[in-house]
Amino acid sequence: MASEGLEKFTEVPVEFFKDGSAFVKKCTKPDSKEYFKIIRAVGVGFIMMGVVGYAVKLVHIPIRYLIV
Amino acid sequence: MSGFRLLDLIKFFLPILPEVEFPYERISFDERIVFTVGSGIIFLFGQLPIYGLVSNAQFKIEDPFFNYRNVFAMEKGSLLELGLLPAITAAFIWQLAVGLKLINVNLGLVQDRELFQSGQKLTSFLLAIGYAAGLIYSGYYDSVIQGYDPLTDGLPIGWYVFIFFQIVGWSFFTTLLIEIFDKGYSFGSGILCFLTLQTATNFVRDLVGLEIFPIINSNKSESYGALFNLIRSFSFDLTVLKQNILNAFTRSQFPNLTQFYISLLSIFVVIGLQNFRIEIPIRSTKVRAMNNVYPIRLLYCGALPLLFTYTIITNIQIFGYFLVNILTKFNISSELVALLGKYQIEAFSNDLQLKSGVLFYLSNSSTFISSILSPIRSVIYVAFVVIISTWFAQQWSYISGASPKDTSKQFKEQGISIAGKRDVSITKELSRVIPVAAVSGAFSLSVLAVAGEILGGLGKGVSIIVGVCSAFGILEEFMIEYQQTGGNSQFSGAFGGL
Repeated sequence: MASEGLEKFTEVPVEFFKDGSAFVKKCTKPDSKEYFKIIRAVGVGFIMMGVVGYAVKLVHIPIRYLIV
Repeated sequence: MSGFRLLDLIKFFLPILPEVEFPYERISFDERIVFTVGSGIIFLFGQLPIYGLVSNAQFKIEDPFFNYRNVFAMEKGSLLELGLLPAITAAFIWQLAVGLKLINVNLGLVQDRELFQSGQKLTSFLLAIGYAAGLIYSGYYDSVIQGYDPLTDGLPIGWYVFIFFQIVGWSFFTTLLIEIFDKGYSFGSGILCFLTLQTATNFVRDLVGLEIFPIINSNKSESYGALFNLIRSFSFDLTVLKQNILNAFTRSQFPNLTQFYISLLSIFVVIGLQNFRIEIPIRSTKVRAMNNVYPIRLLYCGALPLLFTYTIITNIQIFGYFLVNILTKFNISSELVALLGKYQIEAFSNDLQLKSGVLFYLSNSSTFISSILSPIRSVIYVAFVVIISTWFAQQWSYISGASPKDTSKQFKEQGISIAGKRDVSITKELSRVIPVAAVSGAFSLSVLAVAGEILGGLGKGVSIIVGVCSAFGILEEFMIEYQQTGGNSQFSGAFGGL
């Protein structure tokens, strides 16, 4: 009985890894051209957002001196 | 009491809760951009320092939460001290309570949905009050209040009340800002949009931050940005140069280059993972020869499982910190408190690091070396993060609006079916794919996040993963909306030439 319970306990992760790796194998993966295109798009967007955000944060510096 | 529901309790609070009205008419594309950018800027202004603290308080506070700040936009010593934590915690509590059927809500009814949203807001308010009171009671601000010496003076009740209202007030305000997003005035979900903005801002600031701050416990000063500091202190003397480069990778009061490279690697991997998908061939039941594919992503739940895990860990750490301080104040024997957690201050960064106790095992280490030196903690931490996020993804794939059942319902409404399958077996087919996708996606994402943490990412890796994943979501909604307006927008007219 005990060994049966143990088997069930180990079965879940094993099953999980089998399903998962099968899934990943079946996946359509981006080829390198597509990948770099996305990286460029996301990178530009992300950095632009960051620069604008940081510019707003730079405005904080004078305010900081005023209120502290 | 047969007809009583927990949800009905919220009705009492409805008249006093501030609320954002639903838009009267469809918000145009341009207006949505303005709302998004505007709320973003207001959000960033929340990072002004709290009035009543000494200058540069963010470096003098003894900080026990330095590991998690980045994930929740919790800015030390600023109005955003609590960041998005109350809102995120409240959202997860309510979503899970409904999904796991702990409370009885029919989200198809307008009235119930309204109560549900108000409940979420109310929880967020209450949590903010709880966190703020806890922080102040624990003496978190004691070392930085203006003109107050903890050793000689009495309790500065006035300052306490003042600080309390600043933090709580701003937290209320942030919750309402998020509501603007969620009621359809802007793109994407408010929480995720703010997290993305915060992550992007910090990413840039960590690298090229221009501000110069004094180093604590010394008379030198350094720039905030890691790269900028390296450039500023450039020297042709090789030994000095070597020292400076080493310092750029290891300094702990300010962001360092190690964290930057971990973030950068995380971005590359996440973008790759984000584009892993299985394409299910679909065909229209109404129009012949209309074949298409329906992509199911590996990261089916996005970064939500990871965010959920860190919400849990952070809440455990915060309430643990409160408990340790409360027990200490009530003169419980220090051995007993040490079982829960024992903090030790680190001289180079004023971070309060855990040294032992239960909390210690649920915390990550700040450097790679310290994760090797305490292997038991690293293993427990990794296992906790991976297991909780996978569990959440498993649950979420059934309870969210994108579960196999709901998706097949959508298919039916739009007259779509899977090629080579009968209508009835769509749900079966989808539920064979979706949960597996969700679980393996969450697993790979959490492994990536934990790897960054073990190497000493201090939550930067995690926050960047969440940020990039949410950026994809926002971008997608933006593009769909843009195509629907047919490119007919003032902004695209103005910026089209760029």
